[in-house]
Amino acid sequence: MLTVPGNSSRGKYNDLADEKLVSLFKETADSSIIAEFYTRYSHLIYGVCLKYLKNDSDSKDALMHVYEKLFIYLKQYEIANFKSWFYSVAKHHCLYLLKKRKEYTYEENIIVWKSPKEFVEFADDITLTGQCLNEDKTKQLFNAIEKLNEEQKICIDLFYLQEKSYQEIQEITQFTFKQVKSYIQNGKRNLKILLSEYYNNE
Amino acid sequence: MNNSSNHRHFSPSGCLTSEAINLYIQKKLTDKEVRKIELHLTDCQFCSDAIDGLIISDNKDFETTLSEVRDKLFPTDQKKFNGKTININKKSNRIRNIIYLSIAASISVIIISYLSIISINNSSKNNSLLGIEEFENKKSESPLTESTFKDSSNNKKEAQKTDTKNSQGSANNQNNIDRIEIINKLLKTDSEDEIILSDYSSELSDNFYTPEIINTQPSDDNNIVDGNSVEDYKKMEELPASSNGIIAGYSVTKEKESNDKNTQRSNKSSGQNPNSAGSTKTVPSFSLSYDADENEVSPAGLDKYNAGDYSGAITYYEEYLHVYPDDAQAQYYCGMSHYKLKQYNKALELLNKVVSNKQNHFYQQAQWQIAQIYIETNNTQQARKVLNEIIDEKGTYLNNAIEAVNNLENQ
Repeated sequence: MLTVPGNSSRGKYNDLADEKLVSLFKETADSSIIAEFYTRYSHLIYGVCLKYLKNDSDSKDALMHVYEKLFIYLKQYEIANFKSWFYSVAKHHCLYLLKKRKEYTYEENIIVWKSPKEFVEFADDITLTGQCLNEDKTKQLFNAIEKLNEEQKICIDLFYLQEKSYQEIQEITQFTFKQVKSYIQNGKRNLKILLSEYYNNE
Repeated sequence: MNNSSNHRHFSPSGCLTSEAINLYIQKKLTDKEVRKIELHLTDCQFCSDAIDGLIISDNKDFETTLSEVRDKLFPTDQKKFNGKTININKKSNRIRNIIYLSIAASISVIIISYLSIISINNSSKNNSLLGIEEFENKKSESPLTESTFKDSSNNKKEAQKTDTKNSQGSANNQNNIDRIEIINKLLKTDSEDEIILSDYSSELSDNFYTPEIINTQPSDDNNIVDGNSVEDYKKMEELPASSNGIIAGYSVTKEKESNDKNTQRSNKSSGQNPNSAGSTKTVPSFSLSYDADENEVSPAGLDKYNAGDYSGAITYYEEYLHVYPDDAQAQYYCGMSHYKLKQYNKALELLNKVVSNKQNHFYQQAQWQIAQIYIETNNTQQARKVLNEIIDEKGTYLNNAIEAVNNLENQ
């Protein structure tokens, strides 16, 4: 690994977009670029590793491994959306390790966990849609909310309509943090599906 | 204020900064800031998963963890020189030094070998002249015969006997025989130890003989021992082909029996030999083997192993073997890591892969380690079997294996 002399190189790259840094790395192989990616995303990669691997030591190793791979992958691959791609690299690395530990298997292309995992929003296709609900369409929205299951309905109502925080929703509903987040995300996804059906039928 | 908190909490890519996550977990944000972050979490799977992991972790000071990993990935060593701080990369300096040393060593080897060849050539020419004179003096006393040079597999000492049968051939043949014997005597070293230069014997002059190549079979009665018709010329092993690039090393090996074609030189080791159990009498060689395809990746696994992080090394090497399943070094160190963790079955599985090919660089170490595992797990029969193989092959661990077999028999 090459030297990154303190933080003095950060000024060179900290204003550049991720994709610009990727193409610069292909030309120069400057390890300061990897260091910049480390500054930007290491806490997120570490968090993702913690979520799947569940312990500090394995997550540290996985974090290191993912960044070591970056030196090679950035040279090899064309990357359109660095953030999404990097997230999927980390996630797939964690899955690979979990598969080695036999924590899950594939059955008909669906992941089956050895022990029940609640509220894991799991999809092989990792996309960050960034789409927001259109809250002005009130009537369709309330109709759609009514069609959600009870937990999702409550959390969507408390979070979006009453603008409660996760903490407050936890206190009201006695759901865990993870449950609250999951109900909101799943509820939002279902609402999007329902609302798009409404718009298609109009 | 709003803009500055936005700037602190969201990176240019739109994701949460580590400061934002830290404050969010510690519940040190205002309601507005919390709202902003939580709205982002509903849209960003990356940040959402990260926060999930960081919240459930026992390690609340994750920034320290990130600094530690950063220091490992991008090591720096600051030193003061003339009042200025200079950052020196220890690891790249070390690698650079190793490369320079190995290049210097290779050049030295070539020069020394060249000089040796020249000097031996010169001495052989001088000796041949001496031989003729001696022959003239001894002619009437004890003529030598061609039977001295009959072929046999382990009889280099017999080749040096001074049988005195009459030769059946012309005077020329007799001259050649005498010449050879005299050269042998002049070149003869201690009978217990012989120095062998590896890898260059095929380039030696036809007039150069070592004691060990005297076991020749005369091609016919009229041309018995001629430098150009030597048949049983001992050929040194070529460097085995492998997926790794090897910078040729030079080894000086003390052997007791040099006629064994299966004798393996000790000039193929790379990295450290982690198994210090048992001493060897081999002069250690220096050669650098590097993986030309993944020269940034492989050392990291070895670093973990050397640092005692065997679980980490296992994870690393298993990933590596997934891509390069036949890499002997990875198989060996992964196996050793399992051994260190007392996962003997897995260790044996990997080490047996290494020994499946005798050309592998870690063949001997793996073979010895397998024997060690069998001894430690009281699998005496298997241990004995492997130790006998080591003894038969007369490799680096010959003496260690003999000692181990004796210990087993005394139990």
